[in-house]
Order: sequence, then C-alpha cells, then structure tokens
Amino acid sequence: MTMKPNLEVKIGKLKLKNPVMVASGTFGYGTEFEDVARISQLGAIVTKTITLKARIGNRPPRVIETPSGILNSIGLENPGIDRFIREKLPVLKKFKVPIIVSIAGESAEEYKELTQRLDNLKEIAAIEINISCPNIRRGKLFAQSETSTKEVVKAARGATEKTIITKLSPNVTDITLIAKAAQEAGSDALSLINTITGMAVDIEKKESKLGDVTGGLSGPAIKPVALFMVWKVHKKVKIPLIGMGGIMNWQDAIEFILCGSAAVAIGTANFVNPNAAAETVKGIENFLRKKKIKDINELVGSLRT
Amino acid sequence: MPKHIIAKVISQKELKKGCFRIKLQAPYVAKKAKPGQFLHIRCSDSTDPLLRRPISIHRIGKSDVELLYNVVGKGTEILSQKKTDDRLDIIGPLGNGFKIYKNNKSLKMIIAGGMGVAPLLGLAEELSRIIKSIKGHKKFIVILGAKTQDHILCAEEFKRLGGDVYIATEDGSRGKKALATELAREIAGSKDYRWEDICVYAAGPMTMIKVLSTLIKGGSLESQASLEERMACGLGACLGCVIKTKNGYKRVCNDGPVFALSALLKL
Repeated sequence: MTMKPNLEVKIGKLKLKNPVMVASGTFGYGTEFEDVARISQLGAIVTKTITLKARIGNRPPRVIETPSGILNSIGLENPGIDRFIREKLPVLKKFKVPIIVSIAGESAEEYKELTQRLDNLKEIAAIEINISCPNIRRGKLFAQSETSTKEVVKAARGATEKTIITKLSPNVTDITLIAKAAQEAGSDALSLINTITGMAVDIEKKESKLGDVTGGLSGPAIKPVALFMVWKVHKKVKIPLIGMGGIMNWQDAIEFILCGSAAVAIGTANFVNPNAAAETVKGIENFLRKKKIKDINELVGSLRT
Repeated sequence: MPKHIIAKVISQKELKKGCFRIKLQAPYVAKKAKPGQFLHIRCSDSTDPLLRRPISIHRIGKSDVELLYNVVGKGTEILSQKKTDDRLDIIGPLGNGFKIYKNNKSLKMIIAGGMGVAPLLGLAEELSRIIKSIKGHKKFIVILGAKTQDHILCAEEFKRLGGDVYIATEDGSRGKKALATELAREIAGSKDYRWEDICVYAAGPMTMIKVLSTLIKGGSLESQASLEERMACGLGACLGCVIKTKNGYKRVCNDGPVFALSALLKL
C-alpha cells in the first residue's frame, strides 16, 4: 500500500489540510452551495467580498458568457460587515473549514477598520484584501499602484496578527512590482489573478451586453495569462502564492502549482460543477500518489525551464 | 432542497421548428419539484459553452420531468441533440416556483407569451387538480400569445386540463390579431372582471411582463410572473442574475424565478 501523500500547506500562519480553496465571489457565503457541494473537503472558503457599508451592486445584466469564459460585473453587492458578522459568519462556521474573509474599502483607512472588526473573531482564519475588483467605479484600482498597494496593506497589517493575503489585479503593466510592494508592506501571501477587464457587445442594440458596460473576465479563457503571472511573481517574491484563473480541474491546479502556487482557488468552475474543488483535491492526491511524490510542497514552483 | 443528479433522457421530440420537449428520468426532482421551478443543466462537458443553462420545468410526472425549450444558442443546440438513454448532468429543483392560493373567489388567468408556456403548463396541471376539488369550481382562463400560429404551443393540452383557451398572434394567423396583454385586457373587460379579482400567472418576454404589471396595477396581490435572466451559479451565490424590483435587486435564481407582479411595477 502506498502512503497517503501530504497535502497540507502553509499560507502565512494558516495551515490548510489541502491546497484547494474556493475563490471570492464564486461561492457566496458557503450556504448557497450546501446542498450540492462537499464543502467539508475544501482547504478553505474565501467569502464574497465584504465592505463597511452594504452595497447594492451594479445594474444588470451582470453576467455574460464569452467563449470559454464569463464576463461579470456584480459590483461587490454585499450586506456590509455588520450583517456579515451577525448573519453569515455563524452559518459559515458550521462547515468546519477555514474561513478567509475577503474585504474591500475605498481608502486605506477603511481597510484598517474592516481588519480591526475581523481581528478579534477567532472563527476567521485569514483576511484577503481585495484591492483589485475591476467592477467599482473609482478610477484607478489600489492594485494598479505600488504606493497605494503598500498603503492599504500596511493599514490592514497594523490592525491584525492574522494572516493577510493580498489579491492582485492582472490589469497592470508589471504585476511583479505590485507583488513586491505587497510583500514589503507585510502581506503574508498573495492571491492572483483577479479577473481581466473586458467587454462584450450587442451589435444589434449597439450597446454593451453588460449593464455596467465593462466587466471582469474569468474562466478557462484566462488560464494562460494567470499561469504566466503566477510564474513571473513566484520568481520575484518569497511569500506563498494562491494561484487562480480558469482552474476547472486537478490538471489545471497542478499546472498552477508547478508554476509556483502554494495553493490554488477554484472560481468560475464552481458554477459549472459545484464539486469542482472537492474533485480537484482528490485529483491532486491521486496524481501525487501516481508520481510517488510524498509532499505537495515538493511540487510548488518545480517547473523545469 | 436541490440535488446534483445525473438524469437519463427518456425521450426528446421537436414539437415545432427549433422547439424541443425533453423528458428526463429524475425521481427525486419529480417528487420535490413545484411548477415554476427550474433545472440547471450542463449541456456539454466542454468549456464552450461553459455555464449551465437554466430551463424551467414544464411538466412533473411520477418519476420524470419534462422540459420545453427553444434552441437559442450553443447550449440549447447541444441539448437538442440528446437522445434516449443519454445522461444529463442536472441540478434541481431550483428556485421558488408559483404560489397557488386555494381561494376559489379569484379567477385564475394564465398568460403565456411565446415560450412562456413552458412553466405554465405544469402550473395548469396543478391548478386543474385544485380547482376540481373546490366546490362550485370555476374554469381557469388561458391566454396564449405568440408571433404566428406556428409559435402557438400546448393549446390542446391546456384545453384538456379544463382551461378556457384564448389565442392571440401578432400576425393574426391564429386567434385574435393582438398581443397577449391586449387580449387579456379585453377578456377581463368583457367578463366584467376587475383585476383585483383575478389571479394572474404569467410568463413570457420581459416586455410583456412589464406591460402586464402596469395593466393590472393595483390588481390582485396574488398575481405572479416567472422571469428569465442569464445565470451563472443558479444557486443564489454569484448575484449575477439579479433584476430590479420594488424591493431592490433580487436574484432570479433564488428569490425567483417567480415574483409577485406587484413587485415588478414601474421598473
């Protein structure tokens, strides 16, 4: 009998039983998937992004399918941190899976306040700072400037000892510069990539197919871009990377791990197969067994070039 | 409670050009489903089309369910090629479904625009059972509207269930040359009914639903419409399929697809 390979990974201070999580915005607050997904098998759940005040989100249509991808423009609709803590968190807790709360603010001060609010809640395993949502009209994203990235990460860092993960945008000239800025400012890990800004046009109506004109592209269409960015960032930073962007199955996940992801997140695939993440865990385990690799960590960034 | 199931195709038939009726062996769904709910169907294993397709439940049998749909794109095109004994990856039943009020005072009026008949035939089956059990039962009215006579679906089935069927076509090739909403107004007027006394069950294009909600303004609070929107998860998580209601944005997949017509007023 072959030994069960080690799937445990460390992201900052956080230990995960396996490297597969579900990406922010694609799994709600867990309960929505309760009837159809094996949630207890996940490495972690990253929640839908929470803001200080409730947000109603963008005008519909909010989702359009494009070849092997989807464009979305949800606009961070969420009930706000108070209702999140009061109503969503108690339910999320029962899955007994580490909870990573995604937060977004309009200023460094807001990120600090959000982090403070979450800091004393022991059921929260880590905080993901979303500085890269393309669907809010604020002009430049924090993730598009090294200075803003540092400011925001520092603000959150000063407010907690919990693991901080910074979620990066692909909509930049050189993602490694932003990655380094986040690392310098004290981020324990990086999530990449968020969606790529895009459009789809209705030629009859001469208008965008999305209510808010532009959206974020996700799904298999963006996987090659995401892999490239993970590979590039991996060579430049020391902190662990959570790779994501179009992962549909365990083979895709292994590609990300080889390029330098310590963990991976499943996003769009949850919409297609609610058990995509659970099946990915199983697939990775079988792959390690077949290749006689004892520890998943041996595989991280082991791409031959 | 929805389940993720592999269902077997019992049969599939093209009723009219591009319009298919597929029957699935799905005992769990048949047992749990209510008229107005839907299935989220993975039409292909490829990544293009990528997302599942939400299709409303047309009829609920003992251990099977039927769906009625038009081929409108890649997903439904692939679905239309499924044959007897093929397997289909489905999640369901999803959504809230129609509410049936067992109040015999209100006249029940089904208004279907085009493919809107899909969820409404299942509703009519349920309605006819309930109405028969009520003393001094009334007939229910069915208004079918479509572009031409070739687009009129299920008229015979509605009649067999005891529905008083009226037909409107845009080109006048069958029934009255009118829109379904115009015919509805005329029928309600001629029978001296007030909209407050009519319980409308509607499904069809959004333009029809909007006209209807304005038409019956201040009407019966029991009146409902089933809506459609592009969906991603279908489970209420992604917030992709919201529509504007009087109570803010609501998810078609989870808060709907059936909404009170009064909540859709003046959007």
